[in-house]
Amino acid sequence: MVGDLATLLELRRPARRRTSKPISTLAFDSLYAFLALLVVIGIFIDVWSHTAFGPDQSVLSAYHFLFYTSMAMIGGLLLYVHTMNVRAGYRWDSALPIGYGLSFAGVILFGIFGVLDLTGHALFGFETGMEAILSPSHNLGFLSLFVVALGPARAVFARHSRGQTLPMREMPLVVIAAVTLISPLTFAMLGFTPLSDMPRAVQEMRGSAEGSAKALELGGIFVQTLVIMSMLLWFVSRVRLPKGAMTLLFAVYGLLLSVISVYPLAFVVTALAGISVEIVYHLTQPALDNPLRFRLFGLFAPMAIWATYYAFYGFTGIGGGIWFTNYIWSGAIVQSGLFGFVLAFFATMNLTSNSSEAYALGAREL
Amino acid sequence: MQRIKLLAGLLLGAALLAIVLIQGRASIDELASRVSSTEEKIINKLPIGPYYITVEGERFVDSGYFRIDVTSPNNVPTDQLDIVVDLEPTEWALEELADSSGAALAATSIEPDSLAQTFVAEYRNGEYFVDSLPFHAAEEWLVNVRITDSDGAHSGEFDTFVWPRSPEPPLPFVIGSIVLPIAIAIGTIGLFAMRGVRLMQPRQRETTE
Repeated sequence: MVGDLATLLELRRPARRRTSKPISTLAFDSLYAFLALLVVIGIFIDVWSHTAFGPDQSVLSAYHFLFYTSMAMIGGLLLYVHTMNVRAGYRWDSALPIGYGLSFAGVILFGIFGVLDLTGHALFGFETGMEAILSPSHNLGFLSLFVVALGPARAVFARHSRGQTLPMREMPLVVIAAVTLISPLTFAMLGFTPLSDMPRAVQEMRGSAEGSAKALELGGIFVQTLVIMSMLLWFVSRVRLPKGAMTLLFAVYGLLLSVISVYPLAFVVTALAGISVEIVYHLTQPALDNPLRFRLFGLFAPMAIWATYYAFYGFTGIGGGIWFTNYIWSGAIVQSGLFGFVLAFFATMNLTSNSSEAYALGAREL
Repeated sequence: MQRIKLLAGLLLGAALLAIVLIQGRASIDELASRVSSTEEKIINKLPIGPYYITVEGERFVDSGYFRIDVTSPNNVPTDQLDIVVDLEPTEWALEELADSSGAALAATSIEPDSLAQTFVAEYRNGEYFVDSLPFHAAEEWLVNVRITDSDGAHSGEFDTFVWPRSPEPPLPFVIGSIVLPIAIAIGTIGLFAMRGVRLMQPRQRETTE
């Protein structure tokens, strides 16, 4: 009864009413996530067209249709549910479902990116190679896609209490949500994605550029570790993933990576890395309320990824096997683990004190 | 029934939009080219004698052009120069072409020796133009720029990669790229509506973000 009264009083406060928002269903999240995946697939195909044929060869490139249309549909879908929810009695500024307010801002940002991109082409010409990665308008595009892709993950986390095991039927949604979140970061770091290709150093070491080969390879390992682990740690801090989710996540990510590199083994290696991470996940069972387990996952998951990567090329001998000395490749594996550990350490830093206040603060920050 | 008609209408509209867009793409492209273009800025920038040149343009197989901007730090006039551009595949490119059994060249029936060509740049509106650069293969090309002024000839060279012409994507891919997302969004919402699948949870479970 006291609880009911408290709830009633809480609801009477205008500030509380303003933040009251609808909660989406699995059906809505799945439709939204699938459209976001289409945007990502469209961009992967566009990246492939750039690596194969260089800069765009017409202003209205056909490779842009898929991601622009899909993004327009995401905007349309959000406007549709907003209208429905306003009709259902929600305030207009709280009518988007939980997790999707920011995503709607992302759709608008994506539109701004489109205009700026055209303007950039007129002013600076069309981008080739690294220009496409560093272009300010493209980076705005990556950011907006990331924000758009946040929606389903935030909605899932809002529907489930912290640490709750997700039902198997939500696994495809979580996998798509994770892949669509990792992808914009991958686009921004393209060229530093060793998983998408044979070890770059294997090729470079045949020439004389040994130093730059090591820098590229090791830099790529650390960048890709940060991209993947920041996402994984966020997910595992919020919910417990069903069996097979890690493997599926890496397999789908690997499939997309193989599109840009036109290198089918990228899928095989990344999927195998996913199996390794799956094993680490189930052995360590990371959860925010147990910082030790969480940090152990942060430490061993990236080590599992890169140990699998080097083991694959070492055992198969593809591309000449591993061209690094034992110190270099084994050190890269260990250092990637340290990177993951530091990320997990910072994520749980506030939780090590026994104060429940600190726990709540840390949990909110994540 | 009314909803199904509405959805069918929307899908039909999407398909028509796709067809119109594909049919009118050339015109839209031309229109868009007035405000934007596929030109690359700074293909290369290098000092040649007392001048600095900035090369802009396009570098695709069988169709390329260079726009050469010449400046001089010593305010030497740059509008009375003779500029000649020599093109030839790099040694590395020739090896590549030979390795591929001449397949790339066979398509154009051109012998490697005949690939080297010379062009005279034309001065227009303050810049020097080489309007037509027939790069015959998607390889690394060596570009030599010779500038002749009253003091004599100066030259500089740079390597540039020539891109293959992007083939037009298959029509089903182009149509699918437009229709598929629209069909999925509208079709799924329609399906949900017909089967009574809710997009939002009942209001009594509302919470805060």
